[in-house]
Amino acid sequence: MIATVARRLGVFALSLVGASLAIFIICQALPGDPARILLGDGASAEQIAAKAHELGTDRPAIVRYLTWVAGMLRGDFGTSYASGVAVSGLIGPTLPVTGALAGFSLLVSVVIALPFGMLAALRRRRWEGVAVSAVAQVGMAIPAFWAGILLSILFGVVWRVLPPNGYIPLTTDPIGWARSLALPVLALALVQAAVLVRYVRSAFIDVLSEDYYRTARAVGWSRWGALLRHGVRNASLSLVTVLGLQLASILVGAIVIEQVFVLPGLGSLLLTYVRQKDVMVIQGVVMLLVLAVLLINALVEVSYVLIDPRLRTAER
Amino acid sequence: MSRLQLRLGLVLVALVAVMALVSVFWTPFDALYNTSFPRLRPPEWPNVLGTDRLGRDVFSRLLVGAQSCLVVGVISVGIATLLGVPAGIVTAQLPKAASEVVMRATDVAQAFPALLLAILLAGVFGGGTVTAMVAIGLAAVPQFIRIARAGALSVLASDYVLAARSCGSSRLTIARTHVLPNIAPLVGVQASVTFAMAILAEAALSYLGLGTQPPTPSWGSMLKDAQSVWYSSPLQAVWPGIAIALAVLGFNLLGDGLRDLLDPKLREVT
Repeated sequence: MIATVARRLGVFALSLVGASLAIFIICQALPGDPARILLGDGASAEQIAAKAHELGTDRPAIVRYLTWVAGMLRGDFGTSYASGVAVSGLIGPTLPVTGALAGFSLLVSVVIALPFGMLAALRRRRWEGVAVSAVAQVGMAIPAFWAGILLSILFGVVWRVLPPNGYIPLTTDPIGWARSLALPVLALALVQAAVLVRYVRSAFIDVLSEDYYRTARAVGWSRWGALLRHGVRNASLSLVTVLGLQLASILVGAIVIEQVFVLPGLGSLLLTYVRQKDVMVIQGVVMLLVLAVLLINALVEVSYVLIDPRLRTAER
Repeated sequence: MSRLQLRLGLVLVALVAVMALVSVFWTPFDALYNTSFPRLRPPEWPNVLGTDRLGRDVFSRLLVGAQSCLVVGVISVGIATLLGVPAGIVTAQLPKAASEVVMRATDVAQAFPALLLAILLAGVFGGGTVTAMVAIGLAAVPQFIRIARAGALSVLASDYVLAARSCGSSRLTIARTHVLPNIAPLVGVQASVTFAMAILAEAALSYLGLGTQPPTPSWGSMLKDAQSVWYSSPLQAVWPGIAIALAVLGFNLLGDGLRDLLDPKLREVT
């Protein structure tokens, strides 16, 4: 068990090094000297050299990379070239927004997908099961941001029951916060649930053909009872993998959804600075998102051992 | 069921292809610059889907939008296939340790979803169709490496490859005459699914203003335009979305149908 976790941590650390190197190298390809761009065409060579020294861009790439990584380990993501503000100061306020959006979206998508996926598995030869599968297939094809636009028009503009866009912080007004997040969460969750339903269905179809399920049925458990008692834990092994992948695509989907609903999250921050081509902010935010994805993958692999005792004994 | 999926998928994909092809030669009105109609007209003859906020015919723009969708899909899937499949076949023949290193590298690469990679590249090189295609294609390479490697490993373990090897066939010959034809169906399924992903990613990027640039119409940027006029003409936000959903549905169904045809054992499960 400890060996698994240790090996997984090692792979995670190596992945982080690889990812940070990739991001840094891509960002180095930005044409033009930041100091020259900041000061404009009128600046003298001395001014540019002084500015480059101030920004640290006159140092060798390897030094800049190590400085960046060492800073990140302390929670310091560097300073924005354009605004001179600390990148971590820009990122900080966006985290609760994106965190809440992604977290609740994952939760809602699981709550929707689990019962419907199980229904689709149990009734796969009946019209109910086929209907759930068909709706899921269509749902997968819908871009989350289009779902967001439609929800916003319906609930925000036509029926006027929820705000069509905008964000209210939790500390200002908890009810307003929940209302401002309701539509974005629903938009992301519905589309993700469609993807998830297919995996839940196939995981539970596997369970239905297992001996333990047949035995449970034979000793008198109902179909749903046997599935809930014995199926969920067995199916969760493959579902956790999918959930990990889901969370990654929810994080990326959140970037776009934040634009639809004008939410001040990590995605909005990233896109603002992408338009300004501010490398320090871009590489900081992208690194944070990639870190989240890699961390989720690592946690998923470690969680296998927790879910399935068979994997624990196999290790010894 | 799988036949039905396959047929429906083929019909939808053909529909998008026909839209794109027709629009190369003919559209009801000029999709880019004809602003002679009243702005934000509701659907009425001759503007069957109405006009946008600049007075351009929405149906014509929808037809031309199919071009962006197909071009981005074809090029990005092409990049992913041309880079991923040879890399996967080579990886399958590497010693175990080297192969493991490549697979770990693809793990890291998979932590960069297409959209994130595209946004990163757009921040450095500027947004546009080319950046979008390259980013979407590169992001899909790891999956193609995995599929090709897994397929190649099972082919390389077969008796006929052993026979070919004992007859003195070179690695390249074996890869070309045995591995490639046998893994082609797998790659085809992956290509179809990746195509659907590419359409979604292109739409999202164009919506963000980092994909296809105006005045060239793309379904994603049409949705962006529609959002600014949703109080006066909400229908504008409906048509491009339906087009994206149908195209993605088509390629997903095609991929699913193909996979079921290839592997009848999966029919029950998927």
